[in-house]
Amino acid sequence: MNESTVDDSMELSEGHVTDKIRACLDGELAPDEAARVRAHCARCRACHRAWTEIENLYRILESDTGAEPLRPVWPGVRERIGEPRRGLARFPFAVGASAAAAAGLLLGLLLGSVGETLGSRAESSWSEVGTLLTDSGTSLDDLYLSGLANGGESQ
Amino acid sequence: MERTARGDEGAFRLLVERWERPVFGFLERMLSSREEAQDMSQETFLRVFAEAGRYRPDGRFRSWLFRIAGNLARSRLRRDRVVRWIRLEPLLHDPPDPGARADDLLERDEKRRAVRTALARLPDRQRQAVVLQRYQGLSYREVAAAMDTTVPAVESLLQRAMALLKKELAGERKEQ
Ligand SMILES: [Zn+2]
Repeated sequence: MNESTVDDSMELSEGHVTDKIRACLDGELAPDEAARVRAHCARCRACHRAWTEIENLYRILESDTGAEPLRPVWPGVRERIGEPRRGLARFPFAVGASAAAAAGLLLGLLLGSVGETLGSRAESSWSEVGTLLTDSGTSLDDLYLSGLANGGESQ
Repeated sequence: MERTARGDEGAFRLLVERWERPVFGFLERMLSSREEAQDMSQETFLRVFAEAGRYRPDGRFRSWLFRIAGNLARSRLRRDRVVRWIRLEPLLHDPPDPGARADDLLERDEKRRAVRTALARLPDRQRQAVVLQRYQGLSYREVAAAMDTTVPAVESLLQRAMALLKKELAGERKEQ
């Protein structure tokens, strides 16, 4: 937003829009409301400053570009889908003695967290994953183009 | 079109390959550990497979997927908190950009590290909302669905998270 357009003498009869600025920048407002917020921020110094601050913060957050998976996920998933219930949650202790003292007190919590992982193991079959396809942005065309329709041996 | 079992396996593989990066990216920011994010990515897709029969196509696959990943991440975080096992791995994974000068790289890496630290300090639910909304590009509605909550609650989480991030990253802001 252009600093030169800001007008200190703006009439504030319409009220500040500071509480709508983030939603506006996030693309969550209807077009007419977004236009109203932008127009206000172009003229009101306080709201203009709030707008710029959020924009700056977003720019800083963008400097974290994220990481790539360390290795493809599929081979491990494929291997474990074939397994019976075993192994979906490896018991997560790699901590040894220091954890042992805390373990008594916190066993319930830990079991809860492991149980949450194990408990989700519903039996599924390959045919059921078809319901996910369209919604997940994976089309049958992709499937046939990739050659995976013939058994997933394309790579 | 009749899908064979092998075709369905291929379909699920495509789905995993299509979504592994967003899921890993989400989990890595939630857990501050690439190894744990890798493990939890696998768990996420195993759970997706396990629950596929219960999924009803309603155009909200992304929310559904991130709800599964988010529940796993938060359960892992609760466990980690219990054993006081909080790690912040250095960001060494990005290949250097050959066009960039060393001091640029250093500055960029420091900024990124500052962002990571600030994100890691947020309460779990605030971090989850920020990562889903800002980094995964979910709408407030999708975030609400992924977190089993309402849009106003998401707005409030984001509001509080941004206030904390703004404070944490004040030094970075001055350098802009
Ligand atoms: Zn104003």
